[in-house]
Amino acid sequence: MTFATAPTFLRDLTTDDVVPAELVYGIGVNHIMDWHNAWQPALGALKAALHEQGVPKSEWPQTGHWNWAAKVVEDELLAFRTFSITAEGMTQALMRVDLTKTARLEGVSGKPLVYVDYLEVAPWNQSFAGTQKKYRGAGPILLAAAVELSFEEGFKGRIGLHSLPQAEPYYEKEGMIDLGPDAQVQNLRYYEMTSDVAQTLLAQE
Amino acid sequence: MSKRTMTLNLTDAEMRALEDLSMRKDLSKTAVLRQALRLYQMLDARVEKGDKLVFENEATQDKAELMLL
Repeated sequence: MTFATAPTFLRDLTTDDVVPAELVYGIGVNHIMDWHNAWQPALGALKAALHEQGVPKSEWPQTGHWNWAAKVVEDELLAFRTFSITAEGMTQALMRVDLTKTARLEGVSGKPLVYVDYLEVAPWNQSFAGTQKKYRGAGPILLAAAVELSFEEGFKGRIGLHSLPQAEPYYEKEGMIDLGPDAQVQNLRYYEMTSDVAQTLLAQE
Repeated sequence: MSKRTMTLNLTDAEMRALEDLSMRKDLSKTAVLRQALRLYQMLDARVEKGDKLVFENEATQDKAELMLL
């Protein structure tokens, strides 16, 4: 299957160069192959390095157990959309969103939003003690894609997500509102972005 | 994404329900119908798989199973 794409850019932190990238409106077999053949070995190597450095497990990657091959099975349903970012012939980040969830924030409670089910950047694009991250920018591009979709669907830019603990500071920096731990979802903190913040985020893109 | 247009014939009551949802959900009428289609398709797929659709009220502890026809 061929997906629509949009040109974008990532910053290569090893050279400080800006490199061309593609936002892909879907996750295809090639992305799943990259996840399996490149992300998984890189994740194993990263965990081994962190273990060797004595980094506590609580500070290891928290998305390592996500199985993207299983997450795209429901892709044919209208409720879900998937996205990926590629650069230099490799998948750099993946995201799945759900369009059937509703907002919890006071004032917009019950109104639809784009719920970010899963967002993961490749292991070499994550920051961990003693490691050099390769590309910067993949996460923000995907978050902006979720916001853009929310506007396209008439959801006024509203998005929501449950954050893994390591990602909480990032979502807070993006202006998302922390609605606290959710007992229904492993006590992960639930965040929402308002229309105003969404508009500002897209204007900055 | 390319879109296609169709004419939709609704009764007065159906149009009132659509307008009411459009106002309460802060969506255009088209967006309400697209959302309805998404939800119906997902529920139908889950029920076809053998899942049950249950509504539960935490306050009253009432539970009701919804049958999709």
